[in-house]
Amino acid sequence: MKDPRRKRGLVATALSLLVMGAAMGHVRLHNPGTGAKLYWSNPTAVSIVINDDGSDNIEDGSHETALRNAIDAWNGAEGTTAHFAENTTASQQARTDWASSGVHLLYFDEDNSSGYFPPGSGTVAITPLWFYGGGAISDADILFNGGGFQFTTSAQPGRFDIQDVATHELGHVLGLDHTGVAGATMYPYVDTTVILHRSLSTDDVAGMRDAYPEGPQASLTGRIRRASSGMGVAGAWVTARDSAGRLAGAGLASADGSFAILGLDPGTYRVYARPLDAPVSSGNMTTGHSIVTDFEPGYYDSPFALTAGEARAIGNLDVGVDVALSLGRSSDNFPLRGVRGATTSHSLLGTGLMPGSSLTSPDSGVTINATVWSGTLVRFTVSVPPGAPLGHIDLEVVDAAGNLCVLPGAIQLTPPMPTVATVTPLSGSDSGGASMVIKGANFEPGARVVVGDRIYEDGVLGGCIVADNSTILLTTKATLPGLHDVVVIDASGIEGRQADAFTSAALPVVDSVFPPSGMRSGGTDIIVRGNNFAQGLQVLIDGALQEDVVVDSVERLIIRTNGGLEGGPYVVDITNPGGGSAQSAFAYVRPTDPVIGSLFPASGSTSGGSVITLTGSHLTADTQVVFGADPDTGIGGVMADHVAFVNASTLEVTVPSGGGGTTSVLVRRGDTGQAAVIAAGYTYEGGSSSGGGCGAVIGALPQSPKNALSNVLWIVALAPILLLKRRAHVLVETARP
Amino acid sequence: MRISLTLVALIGLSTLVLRPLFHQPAVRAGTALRMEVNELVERAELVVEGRIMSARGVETEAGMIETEYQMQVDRTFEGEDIVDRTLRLPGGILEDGRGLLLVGLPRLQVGEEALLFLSAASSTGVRMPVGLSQGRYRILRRNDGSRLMVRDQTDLGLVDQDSGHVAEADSRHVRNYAELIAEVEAAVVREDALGPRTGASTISGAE
Repeated sequence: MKDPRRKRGLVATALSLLVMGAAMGHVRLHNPGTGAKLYWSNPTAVSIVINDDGSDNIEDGSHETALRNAIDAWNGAEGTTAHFAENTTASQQARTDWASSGVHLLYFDEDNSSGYFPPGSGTVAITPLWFYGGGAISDADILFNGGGFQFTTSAQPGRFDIQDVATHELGHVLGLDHTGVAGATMYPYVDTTVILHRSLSTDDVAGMRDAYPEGPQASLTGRIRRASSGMGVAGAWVTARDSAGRLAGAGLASADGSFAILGLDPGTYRVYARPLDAPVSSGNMTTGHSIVTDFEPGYYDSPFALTAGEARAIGNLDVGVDVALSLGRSSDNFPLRGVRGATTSHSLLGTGLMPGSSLTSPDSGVTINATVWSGTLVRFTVSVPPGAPLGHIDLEVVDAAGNLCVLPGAIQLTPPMPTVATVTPLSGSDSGGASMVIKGANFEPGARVVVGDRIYEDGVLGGCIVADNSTILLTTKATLPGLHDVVVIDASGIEGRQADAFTSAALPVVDSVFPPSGMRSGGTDIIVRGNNFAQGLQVLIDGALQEDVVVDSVERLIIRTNGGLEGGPYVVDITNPGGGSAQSAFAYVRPTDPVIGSLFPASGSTSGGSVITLTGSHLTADTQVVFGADPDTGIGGVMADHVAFVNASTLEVTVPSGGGGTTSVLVRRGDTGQAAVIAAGYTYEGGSSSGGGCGAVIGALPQSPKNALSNVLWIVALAPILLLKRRAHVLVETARP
Repeated sequence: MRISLTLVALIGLSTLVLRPLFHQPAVRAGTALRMEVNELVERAELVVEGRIMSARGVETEAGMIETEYQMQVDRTFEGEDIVDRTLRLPGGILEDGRGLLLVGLPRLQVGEEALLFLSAASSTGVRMPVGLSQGRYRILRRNDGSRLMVRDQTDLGLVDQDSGHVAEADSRHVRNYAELIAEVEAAVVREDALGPRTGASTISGAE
């Protein structure tokens, strides 16, 4: 698998330290000074903290979900004790002192404060690991070059996928080096178009089982030798493949050619060795490995069966001399993606890829059809049956001379891409609690949904439920306010999303609408009391946008009505700019709203009983006059003892007793609830103040039954009347010729 | 001469303009952009060839571990020409055995001959190899005295099995010395033709 220009084989000799003894399955980082493998002494709870500043490129907090998904990928590995324990306390997430041994931080370095990202460094992310001489890791952090590169959580072109990069770097945090498996998360190359490294391969999982085993693990040990001399082949890449043809584990042979593939499940495995030359080479490994690449790939003659926990020695594998055949270059993007139930097209670079060669996979159900052989490139299609097991499969080339090249784990078989068609509701409170239904296609068990800064994992308490292939159900958690994508990610890392599908917002709350009705011609000033009213909100009455709205405060709105068709009560829909909305009611009525002009005299004794003249307009015989009502809600106050109707402009009002000070005066039609109010309409003189000179005791005085009728009750009371009126009106209109 | 410089400048400019149109994949160990020699030169503030005379792990007041290398410089392609240079790179091992590994960063060996592509020094004097391990080629000598450039971190000599001579290996990681130096020189000329730098961060489509 060498460049054909090479004339002679090579062996490598270590100039300094060699890693002696059998290399374990996968490749571990080690102390370059002593060769000791790096490890966490307490792997069951490796603390990790996501700095809450995040990336300057991500505004919706989704960097946290992407990083958590990356953490979860490693935490989902079975057969290992290694586990990240995220510390989500605010004080920890606020930390930026990544170099401190007291915190293991995932941090976007936006201004090169670390010094690791000077201009032109070309470094996208880096993982510093502190260790003791014996290999115990004392600290590790992941730094993203936020100032030099763009990152994304939504597949924006030209940006690096945070989850993909983080999953790889977290493997380093756990002590893993790069792998020769092309489709693995620890594969050393990435591209802005790659996201499949989000999901671990069995090789990555085997690495965890190797470093931090949970109970006995089955293993295969052996030795790779040169057929010509019997000498060991240093650094041969040895791979085990299960009976379904899926990658199961791999390892790097030591300087004497001996290897161990650890962390295997019970099963039957075929084992082969290949040179670590392309697309992964010795240059991708950290210092200290002894690697030669001048031999032909070869298989052990027969498969090996392993029982649970069995350690099986499988003897020697003799390999031949190097061949001028290779498949895969570092400029290819791995893994290639094969889709269940579909055919996909691909190409790979290499050497010796001549017509007459064959390209196959070890799974006979997966059809590889090579269409173009051009010496340095092969084009081919991959057809995967609908029910094919997921996982990584190798590609194998045999040229016309019978020479062999194997590219381990080159293709990752995934389900079809999930698609999100609809999301209901479109908005919900930022405090959560909304029942969300996601409709779409290709939803798989084990999927996870991301909405803003929240992750909902299938089958997990507080997560989501994949009800069927096209439906996911969940209840939203407290979510950062804003407009969020709704993303469905399957276990392979492939995602479907609907952009801007859900708005999380502080929902407006309506406590009162006063008056509850107004003239159909419009112009009524409505006071809405409540909470969370945001500047720029919209108000609809019966679906009609109200043009004159003033957000007086977060607790108070003033709406001057446009007017509308007589009837109701209509829905008053108040929608914040973020999308959260609240509803109340308002009715349009035929009469013109009452108006208060003045009161004379405008003051009198606290004992009441004096008769004053109230002038205004559109007053009626059933108009009620209330002293001391809340001018914003109409609630409370004391009804006038007697109201004498003089004409539509004049009422004679007997003032009730009251506390000292100035108080409001409200007039309200008894039939429709239309009202008008003067906030400082009448002054009680001579009484003691109960509140430092502002003596009106609004709402505290005994109320008559009429006064107890709140505005909400007004709506209830008015509804049947208005409905009858509206119906009569409609009937009349219908009867017109 | 004037025409050729103009051509070089045009080629360089067109490269800069067109580059963002293409994918620029990354090698990672850490994660870094994958770069060819001309890009290494474009991004480096200091490009030197020489021999590492000594290495010493040091711990800074901030608790960082760095390695201070003494380098006898044979040739400076970019940057100030200083024969006996002190270079400080992140990571290293202290005498008490404690260490800091920046995954993907090369570790230079005493006695090693190397061609280094380094960033500008930080305020504390630390430089980063451009593109992590890509910013260092080791120089190996054959028995006949000819030289090879090897880009890897395996501390390996690649020796011909039959003759015992250091020999050609994978063309992407082992380069003929003269060819690679010629590429570096051409890249430096191209850089000079483009005039003073306005900042290396402006030359990448990804940055």
